[in-house]
Amino acid sequence: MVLLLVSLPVVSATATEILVPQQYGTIGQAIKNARSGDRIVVGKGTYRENIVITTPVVLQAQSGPQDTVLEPLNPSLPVIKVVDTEKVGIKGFTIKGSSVAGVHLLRTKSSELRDSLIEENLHGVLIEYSSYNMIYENTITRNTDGISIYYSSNNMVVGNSVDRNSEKGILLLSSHRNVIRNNSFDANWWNGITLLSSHNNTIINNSVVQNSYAIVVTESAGNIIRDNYTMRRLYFILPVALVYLGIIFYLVERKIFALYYSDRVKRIWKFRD
Amino acid sequence: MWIVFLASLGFIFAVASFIGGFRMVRKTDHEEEAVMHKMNGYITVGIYVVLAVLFLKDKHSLFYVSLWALGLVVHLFKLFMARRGLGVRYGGYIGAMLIITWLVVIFSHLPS
Repeated sequence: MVLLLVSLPVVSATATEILVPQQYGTIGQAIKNARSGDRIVVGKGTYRENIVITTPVVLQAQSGPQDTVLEPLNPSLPVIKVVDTEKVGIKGFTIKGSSVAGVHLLRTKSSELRDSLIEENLHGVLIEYSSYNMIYENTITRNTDGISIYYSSNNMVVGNSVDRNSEKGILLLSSHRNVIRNNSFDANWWNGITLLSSHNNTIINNSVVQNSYAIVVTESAGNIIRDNYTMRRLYFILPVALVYLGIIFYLVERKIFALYYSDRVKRIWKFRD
Repeated sequence: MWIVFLASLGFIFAVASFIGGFRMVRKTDHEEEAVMHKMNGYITVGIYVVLAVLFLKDKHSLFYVSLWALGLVVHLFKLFMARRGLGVRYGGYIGAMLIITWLVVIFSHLPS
């Protein structure tokens, strides 16, 4: 609870609301002119920008991820990069098409990413050297890696759907005391959840099905991993089961045909006599 | 999901057809074995064609059309060889090709 309160972006009493594109044509211009604690409300449309946030602002889509799409102007940079700041909020966008990351939090504290659709990036969400951030109720799909947390601590990943990514669902590398709870990490090509040299994390009540490997823990200690629902990918199970079913089907079919033909043969012999 | 079910059904028929064909090659067959083998084979091809149509309905890429056409060629080649009486000699190889084709079909329809 304390973590949750700390992580929520705070809007100061003097905060103003900035409208894009009514007041500023681009999100970048709006951020440049925003003061600490301002709320930038982005209208419907597709915005091609590489957004860099270095001040505590809230970036919010007016009508949700289906209508507000952020794509990178330069795909070799993140769509949104939050760097050397705290208490940033990002809410309600579709964020897609970067060969680096959809959202990159670098040396960032107490920020929040929520209710967004993040797809077709190298990393859906990349968190580096950051702490006390909250990734909450996003859909993170069809990226190479869903969520990558490197050298970061005390972040919360709660209620996200991190599905169908072409490598890993979530990877924690040298990251400690993070909480990963109530997410789905389903149908990712490689591991659902990977902990590498990461200690004292809490991984509770996640769905981790149809990945090649569900939860992989390497050189990590003191992690609490419980009440997760896991199942190996159907790829290995289904064909074997179907071969068995095929054999059974053949045996049953042969019995039925044998009955039919024996009767028919008898009738033919009877007719000849 | 029901496409996965249909693909699975096709694979089951392919396996049954393969076993039937194998027994015929080994000359342990009776008349009913031949009928079963034919019936399973034709149902397998039928399911394959239905799956191909359903798949290509949404994806018009030449690559996918070529892949499905290649699978159909494998099926027709098997039929051709059997009609030419070469099934006894090469049946095992062709049957294995068919099973592999169906494994690819199964994998391509599983959620990934």
